[in-house]
Amino acid sequence: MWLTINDKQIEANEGMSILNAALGAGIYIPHLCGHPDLEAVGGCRLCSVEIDGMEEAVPSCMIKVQEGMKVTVHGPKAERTRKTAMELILATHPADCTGCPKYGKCELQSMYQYLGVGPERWKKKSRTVPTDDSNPLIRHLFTRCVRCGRCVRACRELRGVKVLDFQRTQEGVRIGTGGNISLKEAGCKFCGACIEVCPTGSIMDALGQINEEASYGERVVPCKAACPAHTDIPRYLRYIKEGEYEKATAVIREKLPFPEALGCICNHVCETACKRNELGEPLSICKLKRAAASVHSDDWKKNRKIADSTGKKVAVIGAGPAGLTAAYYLAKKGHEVTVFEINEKAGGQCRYGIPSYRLPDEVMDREIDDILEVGVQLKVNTTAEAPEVLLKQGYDTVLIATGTHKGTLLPLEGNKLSGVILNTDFLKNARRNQIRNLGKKVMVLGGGNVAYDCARTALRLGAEEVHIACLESRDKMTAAAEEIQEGCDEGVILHSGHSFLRITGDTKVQGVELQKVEKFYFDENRKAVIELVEGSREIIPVDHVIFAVGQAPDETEKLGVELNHGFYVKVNSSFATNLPGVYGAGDVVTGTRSVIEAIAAGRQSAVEMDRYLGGDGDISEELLEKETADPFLGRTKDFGNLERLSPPLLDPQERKNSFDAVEQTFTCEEAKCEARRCLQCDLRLNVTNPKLWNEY
Amino acid sequence: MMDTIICNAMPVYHEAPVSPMLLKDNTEKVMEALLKEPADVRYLIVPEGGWEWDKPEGLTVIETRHKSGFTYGNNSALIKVTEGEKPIPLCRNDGGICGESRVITVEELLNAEKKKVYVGGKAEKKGFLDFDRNITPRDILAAAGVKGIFKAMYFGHPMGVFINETTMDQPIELTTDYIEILNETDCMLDFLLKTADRYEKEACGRCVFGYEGVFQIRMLLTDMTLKKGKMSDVDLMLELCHEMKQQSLCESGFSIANTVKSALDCFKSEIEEHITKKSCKAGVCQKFLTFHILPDLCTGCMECLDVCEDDAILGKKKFIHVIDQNECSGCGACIEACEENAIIRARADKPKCPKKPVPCKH
Repeated sequence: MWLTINDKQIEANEGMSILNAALGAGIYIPHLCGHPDLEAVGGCRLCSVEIDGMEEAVPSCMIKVQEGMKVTVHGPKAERTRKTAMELILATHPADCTGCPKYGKCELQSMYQYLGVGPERWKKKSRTVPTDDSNPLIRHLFTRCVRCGRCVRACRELRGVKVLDFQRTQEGVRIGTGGNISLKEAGCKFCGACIEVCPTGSIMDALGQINEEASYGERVVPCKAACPAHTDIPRYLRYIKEGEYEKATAVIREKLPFPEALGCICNHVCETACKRNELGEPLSICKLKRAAASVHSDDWKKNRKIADSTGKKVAVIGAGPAGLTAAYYLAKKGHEVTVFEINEKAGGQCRYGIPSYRLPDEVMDREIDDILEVGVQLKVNTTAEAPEVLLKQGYDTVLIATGTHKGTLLPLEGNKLSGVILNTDFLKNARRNQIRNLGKKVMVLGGGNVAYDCARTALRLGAEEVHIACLESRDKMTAAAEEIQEGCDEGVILHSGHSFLRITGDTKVQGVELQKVEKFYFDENRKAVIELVEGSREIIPVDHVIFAVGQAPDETEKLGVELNHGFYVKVNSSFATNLPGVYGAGDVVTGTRSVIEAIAAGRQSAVEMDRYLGGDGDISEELLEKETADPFLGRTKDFGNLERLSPPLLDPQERKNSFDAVEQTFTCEEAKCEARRCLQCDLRLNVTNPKLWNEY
Repeated sequence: MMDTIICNAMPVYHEAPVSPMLLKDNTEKVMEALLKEPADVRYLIVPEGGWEWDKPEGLTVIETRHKSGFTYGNNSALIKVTEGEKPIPLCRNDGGICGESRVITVEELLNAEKKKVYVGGKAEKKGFLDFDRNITPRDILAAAGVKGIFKAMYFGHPMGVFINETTMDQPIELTTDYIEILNETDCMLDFLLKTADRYEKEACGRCVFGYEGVFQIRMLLTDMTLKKGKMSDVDLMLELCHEMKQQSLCESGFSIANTVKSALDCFKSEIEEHITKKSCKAGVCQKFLTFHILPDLCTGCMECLDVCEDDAILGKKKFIHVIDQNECSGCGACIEACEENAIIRARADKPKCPKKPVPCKH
């Protein structure tokens, strides 16, 4: 239908308000209590207009359009109402804008500047309310509140959480919870919709949540920002909550080809970033990913795109997570990719570094098969030629992703004795089933996850007594807390805060001499300083000593590229080495890091290499049609106190006799239950930003 | 959508619980009538507590707390109550967006011929009276009586109307539950301020003209009672009332604006004297009371002079003491100190006193 606004003919749909029709046609009408995502209430009267045939000004948000209606936005009556309304609002609003955290981004500020009015005619008195910093994630600064009620409608109607409302107090009407209880007690879901719709600086993110360096989206959804591959975590958790594992897996697969492997062993920095930490414990994101991936659905393959052949050839050296990821995305971009792997199986550290009780072989097999399926050629038991030779052989580009497979031997007395083993050799040989006669007693030196991998593997290979000794105190150890606990449950004896003085024995290891550490720290030159406790020496009798004190790249000097710190491949920000067409990614560049970082590096290097080969470098994909998440959350009993679930573990006595997976997968019910704890921070990004007058 | 009918038994004035009274007296009749109304869903909204029901089927009774009486007079607010929300209005009763819900009062259900009203203030027969729906104020006054000299009649929410002696014979449509009768001891400005204060305390906060409007009215009126009023404030207040009558979201903003406007129509000079003459005719507004020492009674004993903390009393032994009105803070300590009862509080009419101390006559 047609109507006239300010002498301009505009078309509008039936049922639309005059305000929305005008805004849709690019005609600005000031409005404050109105918000594109919320029901109009007609409270502020800033949107007043005059309509032919009506005596008085009316709020345009509350009047539906009619055929032939004649509307004047700036008539004298409407202007008087509008200006008076703004003056009245300003009369009780703090006068000083410059101290406000919303300064420059405030809708009220923008609007009164547009209207050019001030509160001078009226009695001025701001209603001071103490700032409330007592709630997690959300700050209330209600001295600035103008009672537009947007937050109330967002909370009650849009989200259905029904926590905020108009509350009558001795000092007047305020926004808050009934009975002034904490947000958590009131059943707040901490979705942040109230923050998002507040036109002034009255409801804000808690101070710790504001990282000025991050983009707005990153700040609002920190889990996704923290994940090196930027997996859309809230999105897939929502699918898990609905029991839709296939769709959840597709979401994960949009960013990486190893969902189940990561579900087993990811170091989940996303959980550290999770906003739910502020309420207690974070979401069990990693284990939820595993639950979703464990259905092994092929649904996601329907939308997988593989480009036509480009005729370009790519060589990838090393079939670990970085190499395989790069190979996968490059093959999907139409390049002919060959991966050279020195070992008999692909997987790199995921296969030969991480024990199978943490990451079972069949998980790796399955996910590597999916990679090979897109046309990646895998040559196992093959030592690749040097990159320069590969380029001469006809490869257009080469990626070095050989990882860190050489264990570090500390310069320690007795380190050449028979019975001394390196972490990398030990774990690899255990995987290959090549370890015999480990003896009864084993000492692992080191305090990281690899030390635990070695110790727990040793137990499974029949060692009766397994020790771990490390310099760090238990709370400073780099091993994950769960890893330490699980090792302890299996009977690993931990000597944290001990220095290893020497390995005793003539030809064969007989013991390790330890001494208690008084202080261990790094000085200003980042040199380790160790102070020992006098008279605390003891010799632990053992048959084998495993060094688990770090690992480095092997034979990188033969690659013919520039190195860093002796062994590491040097690359620039585009993953390029000093040789044109030769790239590097993963642990061989960065030193030992996490699997997810290697995967992220694999993706990024694929982008750079595709561009080098003349492609557009766009490896993004949509494996699942983009849905709009339901903005309605509803109430959940005791939401703020819902406890984090953990998947069950095999009994310690039972599990230490086999390499069966220790950790079980969440059942569907457990997963749904755990996923329900998600705050769905990303829903905030779906809230429409009202356009300000200068955008019309 | 289902047709819903809501019977409202929430009183607008807690001191005038007309609807709950009618409901208590006619419970069965009301229920029966409500169940006969054509609707799929029926609600009865009553004030919390004190009810014993044989709740009939097909009717949901909602007991709610009486905190914001004025908004319970709004139909859209009552619909919110049936949805489990607070009684916060969305539009005026004639705003026409109540959808499929119909709101009916207990009186309407009972088809009562007469309007039951609580008459308070200076009425001789304070309490509930039944009146014709169309009635002259004179008839109301005849029925209710007045202590002292009649000054004004106030018709409460949702009418917000004052009547003075000049309009007593014009018939009026009675829609309020509450009438207050004022006599010569009432100050119109003071009464207006108390009324505005009540509206402010009851305001829901949703709309600018309702909430901020009544706040400004209260502030402006307060200034006038504190001798800080300006004549321009009266014009500003009238301008505001005009906007509030049109633009406040529900009837509350309308009725307080109408109250102010009608008080200024009927009692303009009495209110303006607070500003122009700095006097409160009724002697109610504390700031306008003045203290005087009657020269005939003063013995010049110095007692009052000694207790005055403001040093506002001039005089010496055997001289008639005089209060310097510019210095006096009106604490009243001198009245207590004077054994001769020579010191008085004065309203509009001031006693004749010497300008400075003169020797006592006795």
